[in-house]
Amino acid sequence: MATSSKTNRTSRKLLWTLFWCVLAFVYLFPYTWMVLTGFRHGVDTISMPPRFIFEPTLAGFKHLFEVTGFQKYIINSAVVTIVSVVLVIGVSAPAAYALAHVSRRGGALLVAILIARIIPAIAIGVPVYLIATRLHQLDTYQALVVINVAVNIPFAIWLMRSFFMEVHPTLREAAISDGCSEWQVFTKIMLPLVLGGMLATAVFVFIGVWNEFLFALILTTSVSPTAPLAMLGFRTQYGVQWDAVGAAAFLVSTPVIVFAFIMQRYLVQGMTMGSVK
Amino acid sequence: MTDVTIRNVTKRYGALTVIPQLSFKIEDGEFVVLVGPSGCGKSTLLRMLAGLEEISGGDLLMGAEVINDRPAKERDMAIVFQNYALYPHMTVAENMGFALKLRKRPRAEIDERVDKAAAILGLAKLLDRYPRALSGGQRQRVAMGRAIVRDPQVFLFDEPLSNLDAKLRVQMRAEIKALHQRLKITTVYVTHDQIEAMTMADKIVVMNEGRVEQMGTPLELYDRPANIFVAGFIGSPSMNFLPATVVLANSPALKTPEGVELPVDACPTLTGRSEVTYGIRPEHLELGETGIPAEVVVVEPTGSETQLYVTVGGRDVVVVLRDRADVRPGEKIWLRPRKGSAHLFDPNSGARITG
Repeated sequence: MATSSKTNRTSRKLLWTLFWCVLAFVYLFPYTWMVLTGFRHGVDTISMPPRFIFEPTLAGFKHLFEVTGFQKYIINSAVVTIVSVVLVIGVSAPAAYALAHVSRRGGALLVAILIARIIPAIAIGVPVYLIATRLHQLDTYQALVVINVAVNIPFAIWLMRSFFMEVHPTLREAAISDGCSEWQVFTKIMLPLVLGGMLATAVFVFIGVWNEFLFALILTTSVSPTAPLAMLGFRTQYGVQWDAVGAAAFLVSTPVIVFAFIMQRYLVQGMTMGSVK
Repeated sequence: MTDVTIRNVTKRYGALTVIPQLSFKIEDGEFVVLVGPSGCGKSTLLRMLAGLEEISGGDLLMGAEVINDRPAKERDMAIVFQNYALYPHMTVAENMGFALKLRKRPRAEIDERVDKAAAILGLAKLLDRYPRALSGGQRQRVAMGRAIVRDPQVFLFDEPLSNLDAKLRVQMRAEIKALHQRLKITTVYVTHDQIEAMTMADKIVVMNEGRVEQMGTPLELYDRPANIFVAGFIGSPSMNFLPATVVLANSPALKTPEGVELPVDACPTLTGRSEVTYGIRPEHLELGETGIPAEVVVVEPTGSETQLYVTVGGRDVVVVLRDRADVRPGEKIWLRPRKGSAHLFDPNSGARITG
């Protein structure tokens, strides 16, 4: 009897392990294939059957930087993303704090915030283009920053509000009683306590802005296109330059992965904050 | 140190009035306890004193000065919260010195005052710890230390012992009282526990539904409760209440509807009254050879006392005997009220009948 239940447990464990292996394969294989594509010749990529053993090459990366000028795209992405993240967090954090602790009538604003998230980006693409044109802001950093900040602030406020709500309201009252102004409560008491949540929010916003494609496509041409747009240029009349595509995809995805890896402690902290008392 | 006057203070939330025109005075150096059931307005009043809630009407005065519009940080009142409200990212020393740091006091002065408060509260060895590494009692002391360091004119305590276990509560009660005797700072203490009120207060304010039911020293409230609410609230176990009919108006003779005679040896004139509510504290009933007939239901010996749950004419009555008693469930006994210990109340208004 004991042997049979032990066998059952082992079988269940094996099945679950197999399941997670399949899931991991489904998630990781496309990315792995993409990375491999960047380090091999195009002919190795399109050959049938697929070649997993090949002579590695940096020809794709060389093409990116010497022919395409990919460094410009990366710099544009970095500038737009960093400025957007700073502005989003800078505006959203005090707003989220006020909605969580100060304002007693934030309900309508919260609903408005959520409604703003429902609108698909493509629905406002044309009006955004027209406004940018009228203001002579096409193909500029500021146009991209403004639209990314506008799109991400509602999400950031909504997410950070939940982190601020984890802080007991009596802490604010104690700080006020001790002599803090509202700003001092926010900076000296609240921010240190929700730092993990704030960094988690920053990571999400970073990923969203770095990978943003649609508004970059609509609003930029030659001066400020961002990294996700770079790959459009590798599809030519002569075919797709797979090695350059793979190299570009690798370079575009690596900063996000590295950033998330560095911040993973805060991500976990932020996502589990308050879940265990 | 200063006195605090609450003059016709009102609190409204929209159309709902939770405190209608409250007035009383807290003398300089007094330890006043606001006690009452949940929702009676005691914490709301405390928060209005602290400046954490707006006052809808009336005046709050510190000394002769009206402080209604003074922000919380300028009221020189230190509040100790029920859940301690310690800053988790600061050490004990930083928690205690935070208010002085905000006021830009010199480092040496902050350290000196923190060390002094820590010595009073037995926290000297815990100054570098974070709140998460402290026990409940230690956290409560740090919360008190944070208040003491400020050297305020008024201490406010909002049910500070509610989160502690029974044993620690008893210990902290004594510590808080000793602290007050040492520092002599005007203190307003909110609790729902009448034992805390009785053991700690110079003056108790019993509140109910936003109103003051009675205000006085602990023994005044215990010996002469103004109404049924105060009589039932003060004292543990609660006072026993029995409905009674006046048999003879000018001679002490009362009977329950079941016909049980209730002895009353010193009674105010009951002319014009046909019914009263008879109140007797459990600890004022003794076993006798005659008196009120009762049947024992449950016997609870606690070591130093014996609690009896009995029925008198079918009505539940609690008796607390200071000695051990040899009684058993089902036994018929006679209860004799201690001389002068019965209380009579108007059954309609609940007010004490004083003659």
